[in-house]
Amino acid sequence: MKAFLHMPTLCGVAGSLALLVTGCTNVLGFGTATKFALDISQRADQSFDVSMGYDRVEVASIPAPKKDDAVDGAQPEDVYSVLGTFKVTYGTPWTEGLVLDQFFATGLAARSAAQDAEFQAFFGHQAGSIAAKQKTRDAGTDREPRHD
Amino acid sequence: MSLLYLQVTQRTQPLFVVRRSYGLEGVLGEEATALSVGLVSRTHFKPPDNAFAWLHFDAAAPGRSRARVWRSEPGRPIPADEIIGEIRR
Repeated sequence: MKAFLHMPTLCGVAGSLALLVTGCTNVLGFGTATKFALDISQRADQSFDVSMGYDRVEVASIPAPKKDDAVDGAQPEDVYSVLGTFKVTYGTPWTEGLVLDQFFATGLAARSAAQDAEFQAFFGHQAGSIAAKQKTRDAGTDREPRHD
Repeated sequence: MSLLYLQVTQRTQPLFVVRRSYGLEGVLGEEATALSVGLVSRTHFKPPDNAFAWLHFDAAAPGRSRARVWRSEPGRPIPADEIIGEIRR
């Protein structure tokens, strides 16, 4: 008997697992995942078989509130206030490990920071640096500039 | 109290979690010879509500990781100099 796994079924299972992992709650967070696998094998009458896999994921989760949730904004449909900057540096697992620099202001803190002149200057400078780096990178590779 | 069982109550919510899993399998038989290794590393940073949270993590030196949290309270000025100074360090 053959078992068939259709794409919608797989997506449903993946979605259910994601909900199970996050506990079906509003979770604000930032996560990374690194996966590496290497397999070297040889069967009796065949040559060597080498397989390698490497994958990296960065995920930021800023959920929107439901109607019943408490909100910090003036409007009930406001998304939870978050102000943040994060930098992720990584190379191969042997040469350069994962380095994270993250800063988040949440809720009332984010709203206060958004009105603070020093934070405005800081985040403006950060955004300018990122845009300048992106422009340099695009110019170096002769690509069309990205507008994220 | 048991050495095999210890209940931890009033545990505070962690700010940052790193999990690493390693796997190794070796097969040595007449029909096949194989060696497989696997590594999964996950990090999760969950900033607290109504607060400023800053984290520096280096996987090469996890013992030197640093994290700070500043709670925001109504009517109290935010220590912008201190926070921005910490981020720029």
